[in-house]
Amino acid sequence: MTESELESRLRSYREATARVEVPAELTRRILAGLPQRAHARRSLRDALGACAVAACLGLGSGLWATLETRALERQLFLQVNVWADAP
Amino acid sequence: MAEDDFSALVQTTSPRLYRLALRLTGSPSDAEDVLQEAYLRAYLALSEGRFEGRASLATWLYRSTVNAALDALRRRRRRLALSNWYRPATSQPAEHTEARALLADAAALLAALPPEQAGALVLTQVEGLTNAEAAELLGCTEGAVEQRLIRARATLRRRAEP
Repeated sequence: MTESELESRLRSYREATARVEVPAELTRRILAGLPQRAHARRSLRDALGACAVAACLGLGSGLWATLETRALERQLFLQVNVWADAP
Repeated sequence: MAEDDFSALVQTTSPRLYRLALRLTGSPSDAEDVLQEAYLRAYLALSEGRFEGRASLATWLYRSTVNAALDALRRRRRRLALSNWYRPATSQPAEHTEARALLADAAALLAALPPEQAGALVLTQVEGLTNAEAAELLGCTEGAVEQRLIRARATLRRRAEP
C-alpha cells in the first residue's frame, strides 16, 4: 500500500466516523446508576488497598521470621563450633 | 459538582468523546464502555476533590477517554468489524454499502496495530491533533509519537503487501 492509499483510507475513516450518529440514549445510559457504580468502584479500591496492606504485612512478618531463623541458625552454628573446639 | 451540573457536562461533551472513542476502538459497544469508564473516573475525581483544575474539565475528559480507550484496546485486541453497525444519517443504499466497506477496511487496518501505535495514528491522522498534542495526551515525548507513526505506517504497508 502506498502512502497516498493509506492517507485515503484514513481520510475515509475520519469522514465516515464524523457522520456516525451518537446513540440516542447514550447520556441516559451513562448517567444511569453512576453513583452506585462509583460506590462499587470505591469499595473495590478499598478492598484492594486492604489486600495490599495485608500482603505487605504478611511479607514483612515472613521476612522477619526468615531473618530470625537465620540468626538462630548462625548462633547454633557458632555454639556447636565453640563446643567442638573446646578441649 | 451537583448532579445537574454533571448531567449537563455529559450532555455537552459526550458526542465528541463518543466519536473519539469510536475512532480509537473501532467498535460502538467498546466506545460506549470507554465513555462509561471515562465519566465514572471523572465523577470519582470530582466527588473526591481530586480534580485540580490544571486543565479544563473538557480537556481532562478528552485525556481520560484516550486512556480508557487504550486500556480497552490492551484488554481486547480483537476488535469488532464496523460493518454491522454503521448507520449514516442520510444515504442511498449504494452509498451506504460503499461507506460500510470503507469503514470496515479502515477499522481492520487499525486493528492490526498495537494500541500505542493505533492511538498515535488516530489522534494525529484522524482526530487532527499535532504530534505535540498527541504526545501530551499519550504521556510520551513527541519523538516517541513520531516513532510510533513510522512503525504504524511500516506495519500497515507490510500487511498490505501480497
